[in-house]
Amino acid sequence: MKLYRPLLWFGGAVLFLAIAPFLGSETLHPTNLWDPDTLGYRIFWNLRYPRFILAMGAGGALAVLGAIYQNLFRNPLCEPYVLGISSAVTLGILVGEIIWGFLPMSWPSMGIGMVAAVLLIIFLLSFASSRFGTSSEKVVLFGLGINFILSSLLFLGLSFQSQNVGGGSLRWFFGFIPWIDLRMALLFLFGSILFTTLMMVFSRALDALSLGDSVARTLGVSPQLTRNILLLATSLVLGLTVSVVGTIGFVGLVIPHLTRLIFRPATTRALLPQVFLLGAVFLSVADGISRAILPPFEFPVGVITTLIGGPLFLLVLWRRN
Amino acid sequence: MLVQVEQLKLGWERNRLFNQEPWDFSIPKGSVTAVIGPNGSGKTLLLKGLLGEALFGSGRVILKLEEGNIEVSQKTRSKGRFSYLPQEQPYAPSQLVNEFLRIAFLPELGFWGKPSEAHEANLRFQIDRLGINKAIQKKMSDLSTGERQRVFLARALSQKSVLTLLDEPTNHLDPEGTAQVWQTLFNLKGNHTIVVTTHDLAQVEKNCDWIIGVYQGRIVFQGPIEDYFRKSVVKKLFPNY
Repeated sequence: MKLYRPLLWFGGAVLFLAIAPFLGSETLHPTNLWDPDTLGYRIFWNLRYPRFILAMGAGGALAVLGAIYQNLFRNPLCEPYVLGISSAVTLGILVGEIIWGFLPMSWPSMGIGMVAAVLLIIFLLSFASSRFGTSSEKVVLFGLGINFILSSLLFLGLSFQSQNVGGGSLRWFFGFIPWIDLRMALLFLFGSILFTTLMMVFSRALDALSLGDSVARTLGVSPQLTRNILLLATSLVLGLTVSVVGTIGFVGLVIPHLTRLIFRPATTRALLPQVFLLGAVFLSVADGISRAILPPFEFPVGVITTLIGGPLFLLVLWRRN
Repeated sequence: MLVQVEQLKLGWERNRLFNQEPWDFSIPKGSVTAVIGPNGSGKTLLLKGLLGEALFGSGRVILKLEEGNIEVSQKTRSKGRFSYLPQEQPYAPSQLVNEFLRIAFLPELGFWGKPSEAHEANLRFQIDRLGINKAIQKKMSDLSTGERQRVFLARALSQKSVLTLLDEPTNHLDPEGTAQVWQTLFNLKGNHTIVVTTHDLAQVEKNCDWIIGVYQGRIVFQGPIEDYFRKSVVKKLFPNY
């Protein structure tokens, strides 16, 4: 057993995580962190730390969602946005703001986002699978088509509205980790850990599904029911994630592959927590970098994840042969 | 008889039946039954029917178990009753062969159970017999097509079931691998009931005991293997075989 490899990565991750909250426009001194009277204390504990927690939760959730979608649709190029859920959520949130004035990140706004995600997945499941049966590849293509329609509607709507709707439209297309209060951030992180744990419990059902519907039935896994439950659960989590951080690209696509390359997990059950951790580290570090490049200006974090994720993806492809 | 099929009409979709003439056939307990016939004659569909799928027409599939007779349908439990190897087996490319094989124990273990010593021994036995010792530490995507086919077969044979359905299990195999697979099936006779679709009549004659011949959606022959080859119906039915 090569033990040094995971240890090396674990050490690296801890180091990165220790540095990430220190990146930003204000340079913080570690000794200030324990003195409530300093500005550094307030910046760190009230702003950066909650945002850092949120980034970890969102990164972990997106990466786990990507791993599940790739498994579910037997397609290594799947990422969580492939079914058009993110477009539906964004559309829902913007409509909510334009019509009812719900501010992004408020409870009603997040509620609309999740309802939009669930509505889309119910539509997909009832409409697409009634026509294509249980063949999930076609459901993906159908979702892809819906994604195109929804995102063009989104662009159309935005070009009539002021570009500042939804706190700046860029935020929704490239993703942005908002400042958030600590309780919400912890709730989000806890939720995504809970989701990952649940998926670990059902991971053998995912494995069974990967052998095709007929074989899954003989293994005691009802393919239709399992897929419906998985799609509903994942779209709820994705709906919530997108309504908080927008559409952050490449985390869901590249992290599962990278995890397999680095940790070589033997089972899906072992894969999921590793994917979560790597996704959490990746997004929180990317968020730190987005604040550190040109302070006080902040780049949308999705730009950073894509800039890092793209080459990583190529590296994974390269190394796999 | 383990399976009794009565007046069965099957279809790939609703409103599109495959066989106009209903099928009646049976499968003896403990036998290796071969389903033969040219491409497109309905062999795969026949297996689907036995699994309780594709039942868009009329008729019944009855499984005669110790606990009583069961009419098979999409809704009845197939866990522990069937093991199925499709002709094109989907798989997760990044999965390790070792883990792929252990999914065979899911019906007995559920989501959290650990395989027992007996499970492991049975699996090792299949692995040895199919000659895939070298493959088990690799990733599924790193295997050759023939190795992978034998891994698929090992999974199907390790899965506890009353009826094992194999759709052309010797696809992609070299002559040696083909012989190994048939030898394995031959050795399972008596304890297992196996239905296998194939085009290899020489192996059928050597290893099977029951045969079902399908031709253009009709069942043209069923019975013990000796009758089939003695009556030399082979040439009449499938002149090109």
